[in-house]
Order: sequence, then structure tokens, then C-alpha cells
Amino acid sequence: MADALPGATSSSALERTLAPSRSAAFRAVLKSTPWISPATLLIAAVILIPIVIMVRSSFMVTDSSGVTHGFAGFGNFKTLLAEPALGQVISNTLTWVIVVVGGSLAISLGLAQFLNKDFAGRRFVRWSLIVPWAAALVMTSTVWRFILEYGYGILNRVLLDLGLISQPIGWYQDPRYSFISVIVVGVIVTIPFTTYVILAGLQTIPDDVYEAAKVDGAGAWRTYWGITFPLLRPSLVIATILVVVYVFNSFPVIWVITGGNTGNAADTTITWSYKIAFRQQLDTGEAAALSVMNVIFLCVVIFFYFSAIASKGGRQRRLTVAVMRLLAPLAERWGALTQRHSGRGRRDHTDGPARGARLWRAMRPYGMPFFGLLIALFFLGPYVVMFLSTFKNGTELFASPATYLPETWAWRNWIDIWTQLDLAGFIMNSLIISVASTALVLVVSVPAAYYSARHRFAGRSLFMKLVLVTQVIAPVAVVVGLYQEFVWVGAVNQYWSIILTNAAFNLAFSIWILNGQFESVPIDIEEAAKLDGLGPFRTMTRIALPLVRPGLVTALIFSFIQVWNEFPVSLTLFNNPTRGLQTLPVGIQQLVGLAQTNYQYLFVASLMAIVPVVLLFAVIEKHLVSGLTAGAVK
Amino acid sequence: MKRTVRKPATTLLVGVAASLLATACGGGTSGGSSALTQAKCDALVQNSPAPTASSGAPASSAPPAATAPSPTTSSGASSTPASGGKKEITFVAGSYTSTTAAYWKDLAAKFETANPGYKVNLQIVDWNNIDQQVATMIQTKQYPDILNENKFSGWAANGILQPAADLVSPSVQNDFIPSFKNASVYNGVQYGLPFITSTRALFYNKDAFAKAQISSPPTTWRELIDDAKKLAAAGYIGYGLPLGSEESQAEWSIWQWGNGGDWESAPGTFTANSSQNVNTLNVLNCLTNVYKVTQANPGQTNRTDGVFHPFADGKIAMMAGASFAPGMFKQWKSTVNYGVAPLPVNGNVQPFTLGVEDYLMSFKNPGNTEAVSKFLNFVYQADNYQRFLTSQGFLPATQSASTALAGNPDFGPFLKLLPTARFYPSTDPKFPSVQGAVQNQIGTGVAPGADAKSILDAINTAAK
Repeated sequence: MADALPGATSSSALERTLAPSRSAAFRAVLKSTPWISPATLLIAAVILIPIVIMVRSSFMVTDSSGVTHGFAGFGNFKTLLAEPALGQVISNTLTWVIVVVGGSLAISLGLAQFLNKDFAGRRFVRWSLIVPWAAALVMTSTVWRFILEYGYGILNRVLLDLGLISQPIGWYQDPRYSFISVIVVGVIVTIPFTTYVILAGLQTIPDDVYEAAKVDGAGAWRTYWGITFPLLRPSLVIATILVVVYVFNSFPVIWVITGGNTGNAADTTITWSYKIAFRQQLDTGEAAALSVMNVIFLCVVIFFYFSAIASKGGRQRRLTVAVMRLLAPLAERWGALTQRHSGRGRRDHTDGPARGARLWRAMRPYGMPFFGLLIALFFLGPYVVMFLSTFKNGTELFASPATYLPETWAWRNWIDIWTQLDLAGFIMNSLIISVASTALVLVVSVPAAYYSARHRFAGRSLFMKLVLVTQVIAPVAVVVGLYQEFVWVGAVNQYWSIILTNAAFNLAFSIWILNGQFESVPIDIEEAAKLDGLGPFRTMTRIALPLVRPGLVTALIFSFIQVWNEFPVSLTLFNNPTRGLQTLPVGIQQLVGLAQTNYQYLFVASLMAIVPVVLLFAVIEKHLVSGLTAGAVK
Repeated sequence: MKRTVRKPATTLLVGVAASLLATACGGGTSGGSSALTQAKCDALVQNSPAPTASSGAPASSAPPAATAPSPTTSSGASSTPASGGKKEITFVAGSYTSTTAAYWKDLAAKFETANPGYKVNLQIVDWNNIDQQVATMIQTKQYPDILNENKFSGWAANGILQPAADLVSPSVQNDFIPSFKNASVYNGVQYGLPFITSTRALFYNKDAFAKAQISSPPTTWRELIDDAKKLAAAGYIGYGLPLGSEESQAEWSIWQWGNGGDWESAPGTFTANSSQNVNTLNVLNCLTNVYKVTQANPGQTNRTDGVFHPFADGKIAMMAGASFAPGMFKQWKSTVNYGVAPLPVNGNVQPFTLGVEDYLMSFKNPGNTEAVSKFLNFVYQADNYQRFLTSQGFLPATQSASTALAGNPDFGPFLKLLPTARFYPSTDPKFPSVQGAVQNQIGTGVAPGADAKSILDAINTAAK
């Protein structure tokens, strides 16, 4: 169970026992080649080469016009370390990662507990959580920027109407609030994913465990910390590691909302490196130096994390116990309180002879759906604003204070958009690229995951580490190197190259999930197949593959969404509007004009982009939930 | 072409000295200038009446077009077929408005029809991303044959641009307005072709002025502040101050020059942190935090959505507007009743306007000269060029187009300002870094308690 990331830690011992002689080891490597080499090649070509280019340019002098002038030694690193904003940016980055990851996990734990209960409208609430996840971050961030604006932002209108503030506040403009604002948005957009991972974990906990606790007369709090939480640990491990990387590398939220702000009040190292390269310092060498340090930092954090959780579950459990003991007095009081007031679903339904239990039982059919509705509205809120804004005309969008409902319904926006820009073409491009990339991800990752789950071969641990590194790299950091490489092979603005790139960046997650699933398939089934004379490949396709359908669905959905919403790489590598070569998220950036942002059209396009993904999600949500646990449960 | 008109006039010196004392005493640790008070702010602004020259509109004479040469009429004016030249060129252009791409597509098609065998590969990039896109191209040595950007000197300094003077026919080359041509030169060689230009002026809301009982637009900073206070009392935002990162170098230039400061004292010697400039930044801080006559958060306000638009809505009463603003007002169906006046200055400073030009330039790609030249001549043909200007709302860089557009009410008043135009030191290869530093940091100077000196010191070090 501790082996959450297959092979990253525990495989070396196995390898030693399973590799008796050198020639046998060589043969094993040779045998593994057809299975894992496609994945390795793709990762090497699309991710490792650009990393090398990035490292190289961190040691080169590049002037502000983009021309390179030879070797710089550690000059770029020295310049970087002398930047006056460095301290602020580092402290911002740590705050951002810790608060967003911690905040979203804490809220998600409660939320998942709630959504694991049965109540009327649960499906709707779960579905409402999908929307922020499925929407492209660029678009979600844009609508948040619109909501948080000083003059025409609707948040100020709401708060003023409620009497909570007396003066409008520039939520993202005022340096006193800007960073807090992006952190809150960061937490909100991260919650859906973490909630789903934890929800998936909750569903793997067998009911009989709770039955036993009930017999023992354990209260809700003790049941949670004694049973639920320890059993959730593997899911939490996955969620934490994915979210740390994702949040650290998060570019769109901060960039879209506060990227245009002066000063560095809301910059993290990722947005700052972009500013260094293209906005303020215009020094790509210095920016590369920062990217190199980012990658090193993340690698260190993650390998520490893995060695910490891998060093036997015992210590971890002790940690949990310690946390529990620390919280116990608080918990008792909280427990008493919630029991008296019959809290709203945060508690476990298996709780014992509580005083208000009967009252709660009476309220439950109404309280739970009501609370659920509130949650759903909260997460759908920004998209409701988006939807209503699509019916406002250019003047009303910027009206201050903002209007709730359009004063004059500009229905035509939904028609005009098709002539405003080549929306159909963008959707077509995005579909082609997303479908092809997703297919490629599955075709390449299935054999690699299967083979590495079934065989211990020399280089397996190296391969798994390679996979992990790709998860750590922010595409934004390697985009210059990637472009350089693409120019050499004539791959700029080509479908095939952007498809390969997107596939490579999504391989890691897919291999990870599928590897876990394959390992959970009992090997005896395959032994039988082998006896029947099936070759290894057909064993995989005929026997193992059908058994890992949830994992496949999960990998499919994930890859599709990631590619569908991908922004920074497509912006540079697949961007030739004059020949109609743009994806949807890049293409609609035309509406963010020099003069003004045509929010009404931007939002129409954003909503259209969300619909197919949400539908896809809604159809296979069930598989998704069980698939997410794949990496954790064996 | 270096317009380093530094006139430390005596009247100015008095004010500067006084304010220097004031700020120096308050200085020390960061936040020292939080001590900006009414009195200190008042000391930064001259009480002397407007300079003599500022009374009238600056030089109402037509542009110095001694001879307006007839524009080229044939597309292949310079028809010296280079042997083995390539006939397919790439053109990377910025997207000024939503119709820019359509214009270039149409023009490229016309060019290809008129010149069989030639092909223009267009790449239109939105302005938010153009610097990144172009930097990536340059780093990977994918030089576009023709580029439309707002800077050129860095590439010129690296020797990767081709001299521009001979790329267009003599009639086009002689048609450029001299001041714009001068701002296209690096080390004595012209590398940029002036393409579009804009000027700035004080826009004021006439209805607001009537309501606040102000009879004429301000000509000095003192009047500007007094008027802004009256306008604020009448319920308006007195002055819209856009110091957000989008284009704050423009607003900063206007205030910096208006106080007798400048970007450089000589080519390559940047003076971003001069005492005048420190005073200027403190004045902006005063406007924001002491007089409280600006919109909220001027440090994060961008020009078009943050100032032009509220002005068009009648909320902002004064702003330094651009020549392309009236076109936007129309697009927004604004009914604002506004007037246009020269930019106010502090004390004895010559009236000026900020002239901004964007360029066309050509990178050295073997064999591209002939095709590039053919296309550029086509672009500058009178009808093609003017169609671009009128459709995108920009002022011309040529004399003939200026003459042709002088009667256009959206262009006329701003064309008149051209003779007093001052420019960014864009011929200096170090300027882009300084500009980047200003764009990203100057806005922090209007936060309460900001330390103007250290902010400007940091900006000045960008010219390393």
C-alpha cells in the first residue's frame, strides 16, 4: 500500500533478487524493450531534450533581443540571486503551495465525506464539482478576474448589497488583497480534483469495518480518525503528490488574474520566470536558471516525500496517532457541539447513541440536500456569472456597479461569435488533437504499465523515475527548448508534433494509474492463460486489459481534459491563425484585445468548450471514481 | 534624434530643491516617503503660471511637408530581380484590433495576385504574446522576413536586421516624417520603417468641467490638480492615471517629461532615478494618496479598460488620451462630450506630446531582399497604407498620408501635435529592459508609503 508510486522506491530489492546474472539481466532489458521503449522514446524526445536545452540556456548569455552570446558560467544564477524580488517570490511560492494544497485537502476531506453519503441530489452536487475541473483553467481564471474586478466585478456588487463592505475593493488590483485573492481562487479550483480522489478512496473502504466500530460504540470522531483516515491514507498520498506538483506549476490562475499587475506581490517562481523572460528583464538565460532551480526543488521535495512515506507505514501511523492525540481535546468538544446541534452531514452516519440523533434523522432528508445545494451553487457560481454575462452587451459588461441579470438580453452574442472568430475551426483542431493525443497516451502507456507491473527488470526503477520527472516538469518551463527542438525537425505548427507533445506530457499519469491497476489483477489468472498458450501480448489484451477498465477510463478522461485545456505549449508550438492552426483555448485569446476584452464572446466560447467535457465526465463518472484509487489500492 | 531637452530652469530648481529637502528629510528606511503630506506635495508642483508657449495649441501649422511626393503607384517600384532570391516570405505582425488579421490576409492576397509567384506567409500574433513569440523565434534563429513590432534596436545592435532605407522606393523613403525616420536609426543606419504612429493629448469631459465650473482645460500641473479636486468634489474621478503594466511607460513618459525629466541624459546613459523623476513619482503618489483625485489602484490600472473606458462612460473627467481613443469611443457608442487640449506641464517646460511609433523591419535571411522590398512597397502604396490607418485608427508616419488625413476629424487634431512629439529612446538597445522595468514596477510607486527613490534606482539598474 505504501508503494503508491509503483517502482519509485521498493523495486530495487526485488530487482536484486530477480536478477541473478548479468546476462540474464541483459536479456531482461532486451525483452522489456518492445514494451517500454515507445514510452521512453516519447518522453526523451519531448521532455528530456528540452530540459537539456533549458539547462544549457541557463548557462548562456542571451540579450534582451533574444540573441545568444556565448557561455555565461553561473552568471545567470548570480543575477537571479541578486534580484530584489527574489525573497518575496520565494515566500509567495511556499505560501501558495502550502496554503492551496493544505486548504484544498482539508476542505476536500470534509466534502468527500459529505458526498459519500446518500442524499437526494447527490448526483447534482458531484456533477457541479466536475464543472470547475473540466473547465480550462485559463477560462476559469478569466471569469474569476472578471468577478474580482474593482469597478465592474460582481463580487463587489454582492458584498456592497449585503452591506459587508462600504467601498468597492480591487480584489486582484490592490496589492494588499491580490495574493490572497489568487490563493482563494487556487483553493477553489483545486478542490474538485482532490475531492474526487478522496471520494474514490472512501469507496474502497469496506462497510464491515464500520460495522465493527459501531459494535464497539465508537463515536463519529473516533471512527473517522481511527478507521476512515488511516484507510484513506493511500488516496491522500496520491492526492497530495499530484496536487503539490500541479499547484507548484500552476501558471494560468496567477498569470491570468494578476499577471498584469505591477510589482511582484502575487508572483510565484513560475509566473516570475515568465516575467523575467518576456516581460521585465527580457533575459531568457536568467529565466532558464530559475526554471532549473524550480525543477531541482520539486524533485527534491518529491523524493523526500516518497522516501518518507515508503519508510514503513509504522512511522506514518504513529504520526497520525500523534496528530489525533493532539486534536483529541478539541475533538471532544467539537463532537459534543455537533451532536447537540446535529451538525450538517460532516459527521459519520454510523455515529452511536447521540442525543440529537433523532432530530438529525428527522432533518436529514432536508438538511443534506439543502447543504448540497449550497455547495453546488458555490462551485457553479462563477460559471453562472459566465453564462449570464454572455447575454450582456459590451457596455453593460463594464457597467459599474455590475448588474446581476442582463438589462437588455443580447441573444445575438451566441450567434455573432461564429462570425467573430473561427470557433468551429478551433473546436475541430482541439478535438483532433485531444482525441489523437489521448489515443496515443493509451496505446503507449498500456504496454509500459503492464510490463513494469508484471516484471522486475533492470532499469525498471530508472524508467519509473523518468516517468515521475515528467510529472514534475511544468510545460511552461520547457517551452522554449521544445520550440527550438521543433524548429530543428520542422515540427512547428504541425498536428503531429503537438499531438506527440501533449501525449508525452500526459504519459506519466496514465502509466502510474494503469500500473497500479495491473498490479491489482491477480497473477493466477494470467498463469492460467499462459498455460493455455497465450503469448504475453495477447495475455495483456485479452485477460488483463478488460479487468482494468476503470483505470483506462480514468487515464482517458484525464488525458483528454489536459489536452483539451492545454494552453502554454499550444500557444507557442501550434499557433498559426492565418492558416487556422490554433486550439480552442489559444484561439479565443484573440478576444482579449489590446483595446478591450470581449468578455461576452470569450464566455460563450468558454461555455461551449466546457460542455463536451462535462458530458463526457457525467457519462463515465462512476468508472472515474473507482479508477482513481487504482494507483493506491492493491 | 536624441531629444534630451533638459532644461533645469531656475523656477524649476527652486521647487526641486525645496522638495528634495522635504523628501530627503523624510527618507531613510523604506516607507520613508509615507510622510508625503499636503504641504510636501504642494511643494513639488510649481505655482508659476503656465509657460508662455503653452497658451495656444502647439503649432497649428500642417506637418512640415515641403513637398508631398506622390506615392508609389506600381507594386514593383524597385524591380531589380535578384538572382536566386526567394519568393516566399514570412510576415509576423501584431494584432492591433480585431480586424488587423483580416486586413493583412486581404492585402497579402492582393499582393500575390499582383505579383504571381510570390507568397507571403502571414503570422498575426496578439500583442499580449508577441514579445514572447518573437523572442522565441529570434532565440531559435527563425528570423521572420518582415516583422511589425514596437522596437528594433536590439536586433539592429546584433546585426540581424537589414538596413531599411533601400527596402522601399525613394519616393516612400522620402515621404516619411523626419522625426519618425530619425527614431528608426541605430548607429547612423536606418533599420526600421516607421509604420504607424500615435500622439497623446489631454482629454477632458466638457460636461464635468461645466458642472465643476471650470472654464478652460488645465495647462499646468497646479491647474490640473486644482481642477481635479473640483471635479472630484463634483462626483467625478478627477484624473485617470493608468500605471498598470500594459503601457505605463507611456503615462510615465508624459509625467516625466512634463516635469523636465527624461529617460536618458545621453544615448546609453539612463537617468530614470534623477531627482526630477523622483519628484515626479512622488507627485503621482500625491495625486493618488494625498489629493485622492485618481481612480482606485492606479498602479494596477491599464489604459484602455481602466481609463479610456471609464472616460467614455463619463466617470473619469480628465486623462492623457491617445489619438486612437476617439475611434474606441465610437466603437463603444460613447456619448461623452469631450475636448482635447495639450498636455499640462509643471513650470517652465516646453509643451510636448508623446509620439509613439511602431515599425516594420526586415531580418537578414539570405535572398529575401527582393521579395521583402516588393511587399513593403506594396504596403506603403497610398491606398493600402491609408486603408490600414483608417481601419485600425492610427496616425500615419508619412507626409502624404498626413496631408490626406488632415481633414479627418478623428485624425486632424492629433496630426497637429506631431511637430512637438517626443519619443522613447527606442533607438537605444538597452531601452527595452528599462521599459520592461518601468512597465512592471512603476505602478508600485503610487502605493501608500512607496519609496520613489529606491523604485527608480532599481529601474535604472535595468540598463545594465
